[in-house]
Amino acid sequence: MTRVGVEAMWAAKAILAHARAQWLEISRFKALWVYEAGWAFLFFVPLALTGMAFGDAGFEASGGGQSFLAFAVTGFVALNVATAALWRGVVFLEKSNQTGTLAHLWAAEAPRWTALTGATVVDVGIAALRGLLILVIASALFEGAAFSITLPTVLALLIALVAFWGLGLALAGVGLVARQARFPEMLGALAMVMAGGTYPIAILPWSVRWISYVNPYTYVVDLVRSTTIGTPPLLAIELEFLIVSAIAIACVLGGSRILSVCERIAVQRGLVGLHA
Amino acid sequence: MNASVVQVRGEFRAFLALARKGWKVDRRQPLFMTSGLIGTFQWVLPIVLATIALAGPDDAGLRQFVDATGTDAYLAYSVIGAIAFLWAGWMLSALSFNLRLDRTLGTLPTLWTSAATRAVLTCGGALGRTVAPAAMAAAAFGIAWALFRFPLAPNVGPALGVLLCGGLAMIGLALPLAAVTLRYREAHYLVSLFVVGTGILAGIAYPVDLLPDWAQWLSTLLAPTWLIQGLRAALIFSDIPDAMRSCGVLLALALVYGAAGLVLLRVMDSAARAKGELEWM
Repeated sequence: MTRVGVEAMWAAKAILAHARAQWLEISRFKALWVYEAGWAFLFFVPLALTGMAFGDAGFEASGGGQSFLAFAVTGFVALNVATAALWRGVVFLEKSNQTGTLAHLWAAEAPRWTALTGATVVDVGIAALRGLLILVIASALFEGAAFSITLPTVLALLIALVAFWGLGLALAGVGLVARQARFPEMLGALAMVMAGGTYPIAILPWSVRWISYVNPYTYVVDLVRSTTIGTPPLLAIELEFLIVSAIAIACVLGGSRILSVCERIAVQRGLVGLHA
Repeated sequence: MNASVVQVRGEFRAFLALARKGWKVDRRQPLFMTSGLIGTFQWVLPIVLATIALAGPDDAGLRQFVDATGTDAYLAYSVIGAIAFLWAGWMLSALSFNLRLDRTLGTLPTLWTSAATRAVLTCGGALGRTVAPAAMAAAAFGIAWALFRFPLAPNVGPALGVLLCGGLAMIGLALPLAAVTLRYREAHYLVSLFVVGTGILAGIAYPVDLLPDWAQWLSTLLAPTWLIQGLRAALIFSDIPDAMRSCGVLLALALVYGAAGLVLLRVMDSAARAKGELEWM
């Protein structure tokens, strides 16, 4: 086997080991599973009731399609999975630093990104399961809100995962250097709100709508929605795939670079293993 | 001065000191208020923008809403519902999870050796942590009004009365939740679900009448329902007697839940100490 092949194999093993550790850490709490299932159900009840209070006529006139519930549910599922990919690395590093295990992790021979990937895989898997559960419950309980998970939907979600994992590398790096860094959190919140998860962005005035157009979340949500429930996309589907793919490549390259710089700064300043 | 007065003064001082500590712990976080405000909008804006989209450009969706709620002020209706519940949820979470935080940080056993009563130790620090959420909720409401300019009835006094009674009711409701969280390690997951469930039953952006009968009955037992109803009565419908009725119910709920919470806290505290669960990370 070539040297690259051996390294790739070891990296894969390290990812699996970290994913297993993460899984064992999470899965031991039985109430967590009740929480996840309950949350999936509780999530769309207020959406459904809000939709019932207004009816779908106004929403259709706003350009959101025939079913508000289907629109909002798919928007949420896409945001949920993308956000899990974005934040897990940040939370993992923060928690490892608090519990004092980060310094040991840093001393390991495996590349540091494997730890972030292993931790992210589990959370993304849980987010995807929760999303699937939401779609199934919504389909079963509300007639007319049927969702089809197509190959383009899966592809869109996979590209989005790569994009937001890359962005998460950058945020994890920033979190390592600046404890309790709030700026990324604020940007993430703004991006989620402006992505049109529960509303068509056409209702926004142009003075703020441009934020939606430069927001990567918007295209992910739009792609997933148009491939799942067939709402008209903002741009041609092929163009949206290209945009999200370009964002994914830029995020992974930029994120790796930022993580590497921040990691060096953190080691120089003695921030690894600060226990706080 | 007799012993009981001295004791009450001591408890009050302990309460203030803990509340101050809770506030200082929150305040020192960089960009704490800014990020909190943005976090508020992360919750409120999607709801408000969804209701704007549901109403439609020519108010096509508004007729059904007026029939269901009795008002066409859908923005005021949803903003009040969303922000009031956010505040209530923050209060309940801060009060319920404060002891858990102390336990995770390893400070709970030290806190528990203090001479102050358990109720003061449970609520003091937590209430300090609710100051910032209250300020953020007020700021978010002001910003939402500045952005959307929805009409409001100028019944500030009754609205403040509802908020005050609502705050007391949240403390009462949180005490049993804090007791359960103290005893059971995984209880915070279920408490989180309960808090979200109270919001759904309270009618965030829709009338409670849309819920099934059993859920409507259940919602009357929960403080967030009366908080939101009272605020809407004061600020949208100008129905002061209804707002005052909400205040009365909220005070009654504060007493009932508070008394039950104190009993439960004693039982759970005893069980937690017997099981050695005051200290783990």
